Amino acid sequence: MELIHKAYNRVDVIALSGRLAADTKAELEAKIDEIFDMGRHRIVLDLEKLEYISSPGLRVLIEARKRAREWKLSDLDRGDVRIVHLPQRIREVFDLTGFTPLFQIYDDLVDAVASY
Amino acid sequence: MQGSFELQLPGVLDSLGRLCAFAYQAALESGLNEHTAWEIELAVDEAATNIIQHAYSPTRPGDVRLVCVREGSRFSVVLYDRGLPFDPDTIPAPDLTSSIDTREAGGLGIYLMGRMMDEVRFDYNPDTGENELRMMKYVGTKLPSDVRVVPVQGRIDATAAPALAAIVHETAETGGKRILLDLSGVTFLSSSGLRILLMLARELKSTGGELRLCSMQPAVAEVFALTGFTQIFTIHRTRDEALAALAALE
Repeated sequence: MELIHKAYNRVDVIALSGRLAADTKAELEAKIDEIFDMGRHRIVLDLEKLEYISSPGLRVLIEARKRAREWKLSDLDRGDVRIVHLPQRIREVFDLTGFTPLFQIYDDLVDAVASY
Repeated sequence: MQGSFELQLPGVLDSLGRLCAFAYQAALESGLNEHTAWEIELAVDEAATNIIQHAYSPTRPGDVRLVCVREGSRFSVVLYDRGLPFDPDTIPAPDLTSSIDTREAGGLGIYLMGRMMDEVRFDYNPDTGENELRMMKYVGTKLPSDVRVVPVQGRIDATAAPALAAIVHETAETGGKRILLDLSGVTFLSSSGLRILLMLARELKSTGGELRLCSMQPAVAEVFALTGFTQIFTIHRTRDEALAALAALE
């Protein structure tokens, strides 16, 4: 798995490519920890180039979103992990596991970043 | 189509990518399409992850052996390990519906294995001391959506004819254009019974459908042979053969 992190003014965008599975998830977990540790909690995951996900990868996404939401300035402004570009195979796994309604999912990166 | 593929690697996370890639490649080389190969890869990934993380540990290491075999319409994957035996009944059912704040991501691996494959079975072989996880995928046996199987029991005679006709009509009305009558439970076929079968076959044919028969007992097969009706109907020896033939039409 490859990971590219870009920190914008208010939002951190992490673009993933390759496989997100038990053997590769540690890098993403470490990156998310690093972002939280900086006091930043608005994350967009760009999955356009992610080819594959298995259940340990799903677990990372759910834990990240739960932790992000614990950070809260007001009811309207709280941390989150949002998703942009969901490839077909990843969407199949999301649909099967009931993950699709758990996340705000966007088709466009600008929309996803602007949603915060 | 035949073919067998085998790979043995240490049961550690570093092996996971190779096990997955091997299963994907074995599926492709066995003639499966990319989507099915991905389903097999995901099932193997989840299975191997469980073995590596739960059956084995750094103080209890061992190998994972992966065997992929294509036999006809069946693609089977077996994972062998010598770690702690696994009891799937101890795994909670996955939570697929609760909201983000209460969602737990446990049990998803086993659940995905079941969704990706047609059969999943966990066994422990006391002779070899190995855990054996068997997963099957049946390929090319998906039935066309307009095929229905109707099992028939008892006698097909003047008395039973109206009920048989009603079942076939009802099946046709709910989208079953091609109907397979499984006659394995039929003990007697009278001339009135033959007439109703012929009538139903003509009706289905007139609407672009078809009536097929399978699994006749010898007494019933003899009636067909004596009357020459074997020429009129498509008759299959077993239900499996009939379904394979119907699936092959599409």
